[in-house]
Amino acid sequence: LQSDSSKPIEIAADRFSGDQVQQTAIYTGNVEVHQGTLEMHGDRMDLSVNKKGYRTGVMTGRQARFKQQRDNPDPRISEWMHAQADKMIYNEEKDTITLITNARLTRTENGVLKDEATGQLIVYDIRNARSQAQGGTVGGERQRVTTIIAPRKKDNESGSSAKDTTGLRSSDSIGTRRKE
Amino acid sequence: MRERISAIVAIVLLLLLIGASYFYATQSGLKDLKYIPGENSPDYTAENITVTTFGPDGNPQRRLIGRRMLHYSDDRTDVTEPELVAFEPSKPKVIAKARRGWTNDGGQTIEFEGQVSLDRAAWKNSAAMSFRTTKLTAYPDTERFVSSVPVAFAWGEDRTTAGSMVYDHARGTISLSGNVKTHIVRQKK
Repeated sequence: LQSDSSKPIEIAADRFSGDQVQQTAIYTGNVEVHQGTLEMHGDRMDLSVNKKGYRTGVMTGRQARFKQQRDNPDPRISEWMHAQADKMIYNEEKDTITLITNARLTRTENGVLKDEATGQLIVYDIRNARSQAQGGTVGGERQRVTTIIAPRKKDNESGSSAKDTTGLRSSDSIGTRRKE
Repeated sequence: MRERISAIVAIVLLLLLIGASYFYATQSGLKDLKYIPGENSPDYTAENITVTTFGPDGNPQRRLIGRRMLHYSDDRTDVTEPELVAFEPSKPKVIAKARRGWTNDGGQTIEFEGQVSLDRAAWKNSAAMSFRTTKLTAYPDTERFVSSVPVAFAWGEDRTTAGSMVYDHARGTISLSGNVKTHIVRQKK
């Protein structure tokens, strides 16, 4: 939700180690991050602070997982974004999550899978609900991006306007802005 | 003749008495007699103390302040309301305080107990840091502070709680373990 960004961040883990010289904080063991409806889980998270005081969290795990509810004009629809990857980078300043290696981003409505994108690199812009997927190469082989977009129902059936495009589009580079 | 015998008997009795006295005198060893304080009674005390330790370069390195100090014959030292201040030109100042402190090894380790606070000043781009706990062991020579009981840790605006801690002031590293929970105030956009 847009309101998530104003909520405090809560982190839980088994261990914490900080370095005042490097200005880093490392959480290890059952790491959980909560911020409003945003949730991240993994084995380790490296948290650093940039000069403007914004944080960047690099979460790794088998696999690191992310989920967040999205604002949906139709109150009957509980829309969620889910992501998993070997490595995730959450950038507080840009409000983006970068999924690296075995990345998968999905969108569900009331628990039903609507859209899905997989690839080796996916950047999800939380603020604008946009994502960009890249295939990348694995073992020297070019990997393709796979995107599955669920068919849109007509206006009256789904209650969401036909013009309401998803955040996911099937192209190597999805860059168009989502209409609010 | 009777007087002579009486005199001899008296002399013998006196000699016996002198011998016995001399014997007891040698046994008692007056010179060994000294005040040996019991384990719980101090051999010296001091009020409102400040003990400053200097480094090899002659600069003050550490200062121990206390309202009252009791020293015992087994080299144990108790300090009421101790405050240990470590200051080095190249590092931020760090202050450890508590209601009570003691050392059993001449200050190599100092135990702090009761409303323990450990505060490190802000330094370069690192915000101020503070620890609050109920027990803490300080190792002044290696500049390490260890606690194995729950601790509350604040770093800038971030608040963390954990089951135990190690703060290495020399290397500037913090290790917390056991149910670590951090609360980060969101940066205003």
